[in-house]
Amino acid sequence: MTLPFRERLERISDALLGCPIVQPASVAQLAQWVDAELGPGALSEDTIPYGGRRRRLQPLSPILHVVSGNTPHAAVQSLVRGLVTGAAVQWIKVPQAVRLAELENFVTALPECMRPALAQELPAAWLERAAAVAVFGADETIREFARRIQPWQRFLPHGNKVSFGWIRGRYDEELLAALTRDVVAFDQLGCLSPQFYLVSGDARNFARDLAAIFSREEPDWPPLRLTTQEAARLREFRDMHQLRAACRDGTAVWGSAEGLAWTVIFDPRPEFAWTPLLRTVVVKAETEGVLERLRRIAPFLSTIAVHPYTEEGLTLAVRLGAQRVCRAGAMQNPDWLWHHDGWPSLGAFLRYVDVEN
Amino acid sequence: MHDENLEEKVLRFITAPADGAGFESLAFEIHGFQRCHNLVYARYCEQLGIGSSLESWKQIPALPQQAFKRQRILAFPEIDIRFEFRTSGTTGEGYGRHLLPSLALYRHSVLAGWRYFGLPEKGIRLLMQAPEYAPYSSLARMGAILTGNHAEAFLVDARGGIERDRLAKVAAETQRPVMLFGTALAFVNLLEQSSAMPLPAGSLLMETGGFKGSNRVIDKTELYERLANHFQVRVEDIWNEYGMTELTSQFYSRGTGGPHFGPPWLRFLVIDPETNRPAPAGQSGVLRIIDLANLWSVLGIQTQDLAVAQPDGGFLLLGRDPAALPRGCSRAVDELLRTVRA
Repeated sequence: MTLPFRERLERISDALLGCPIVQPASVAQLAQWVDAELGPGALSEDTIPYGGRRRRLQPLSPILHVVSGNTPHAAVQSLVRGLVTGAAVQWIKVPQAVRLAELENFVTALPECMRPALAQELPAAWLERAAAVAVFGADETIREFARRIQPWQRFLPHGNKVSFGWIRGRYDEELLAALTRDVVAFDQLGCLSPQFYLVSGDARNFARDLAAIFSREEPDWPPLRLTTQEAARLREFRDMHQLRAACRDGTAVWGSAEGLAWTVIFDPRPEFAWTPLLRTVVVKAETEGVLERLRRIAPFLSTIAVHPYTEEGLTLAVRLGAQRVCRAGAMQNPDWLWHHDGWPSLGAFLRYVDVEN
Repeated sequence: MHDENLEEKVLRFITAPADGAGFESLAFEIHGFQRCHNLVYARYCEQLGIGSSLESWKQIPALPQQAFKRQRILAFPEIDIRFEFRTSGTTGEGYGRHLLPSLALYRHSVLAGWRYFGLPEKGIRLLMQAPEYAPYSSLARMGAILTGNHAEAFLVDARGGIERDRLAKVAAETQRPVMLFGTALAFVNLLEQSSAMPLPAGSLLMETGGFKGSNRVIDKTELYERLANHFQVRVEDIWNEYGMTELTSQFYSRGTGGPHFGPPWLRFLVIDPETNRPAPAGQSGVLRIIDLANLWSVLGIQTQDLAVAQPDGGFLLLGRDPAALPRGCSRAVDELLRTVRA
């Protein structure tokens, strides 16, 4: 049974109150989202006028969400999109290795008739019967599902992405503290996490100042829980940059004195090296060489946080290929109107029916 | 000119190590020498804020193994470079280079280490190319040292093919025990390309090097069982050599699940990567190696392998686990650039 539109929004809004990993939303805000993307009355009325004809928006159902272990917020967002559109049935394939407690709590907070089914092992019937399949994860996972998807199924792949911060002017401690929040959220493993900062002006000094704020804020962060392998790669990354710095190629390294809580690297080269993430930030000077490399990966660019938040900066970020441009500190908190990976967030789960005059 | 006096000291220690007594003082001497003559190492220590006065060999700073891919790691003048060993370069990051002014330390370390573990010096057959076909391979050079560079010992031809007929002949006609030494990949190829090849009683196998350059990985227990059946030897008669291009000395283990041990001039530490200090007993960490025979490069090397120290003085090698690397929907820019280029 699908609840009426208004009642659905009330239940979703209530459940979001207990879900700290995504933005809360009142009923009015959820309705505003629907109105903004689909037009007033689009989901609450049978048909609505549309360019001299009428159209009806039918929710795709069932929806299968395949979610990744490190980004529980993406799982909640995807589920909420399906709930708002009114999908009667939703299924979520959750990871086997990691428990997504926040997602489970959100599901529990929903009325029973709105709850999706969760499974660690993907039942074959789910993939065979789903009208829409949204997959989050590494490109290998996306490819595997793309291979198995049927021509009539709507496929929404959310693969690997690159996000970063672009500092184009004066900054202060408040701004730097906002940047650390972007890095610490989800231990920097999300597709909206900044992998690096591009700095016009004195990038080395920026890196030093950012490191000072990391050092100041570190005691307030939740501890970084690393496997031995992850810690080994972090240590190796730090050591190799210490070696570069020792060989005087212009590299500079700052890091937590004890342990591996955070690392900031100033890398003067235009090339991008592999980074282990997990609160490891690389700072690069804005040079033509760096920009040229970023243009080449434009299809993979997700969020660019721009500072200062001026029209000029926003335009440059969009031209570079950003899918989303935001303020520093807001990288991990897209609001509900966000077009995830450039698609209509609600429209992707809807079937548009045209009724001509 | 390089420091022949110190080289002599190391050679004496290797050939008559007296169970390791004097290891620490010689390690300090080499460390001091390398701080003076190895510019990269000296600057690295300085960068880390480590003084030249140390209280224990365990405090000797180790260069990351990857440094051999980025820099020339030399404790002697470049003009004296006579030999060059290269890593396989299979990780796509280029190859590492171990540069040497002479092979004296390498030769003595290989032979003395082999003898230290009581390994047979006769009947050695090598599933590897001769140095003339693989001039940058430290393993080929090791094989040449162990066999006196006899052409008949090498069973891989110039094009990299295993000479199965010659090996079969050795197996069929030799009455005395054989020591067959090769990479895990070469052994797997042999398993797949030939029928059972019983070796004379008392024969041994020495496997090394993993599966570099190949997508194939076989569990060690399974590999050893298949090798034991194929060659009619006991699993405990299959040894593993753990070495690397960047080192001059080697660790050895026997059978499956057994720890690796080194000769007295080769020690290790298992380092907790979070603290960068020795890991508590029984805890896994990164393997750090102190090799006194690495006089001409750097004696301390931080490997990329994980290990667990054992109460008996050895270590259990855990290797690397790419599956355990951070995963998420974030993707490294350099990876994407490679994808776009491809």
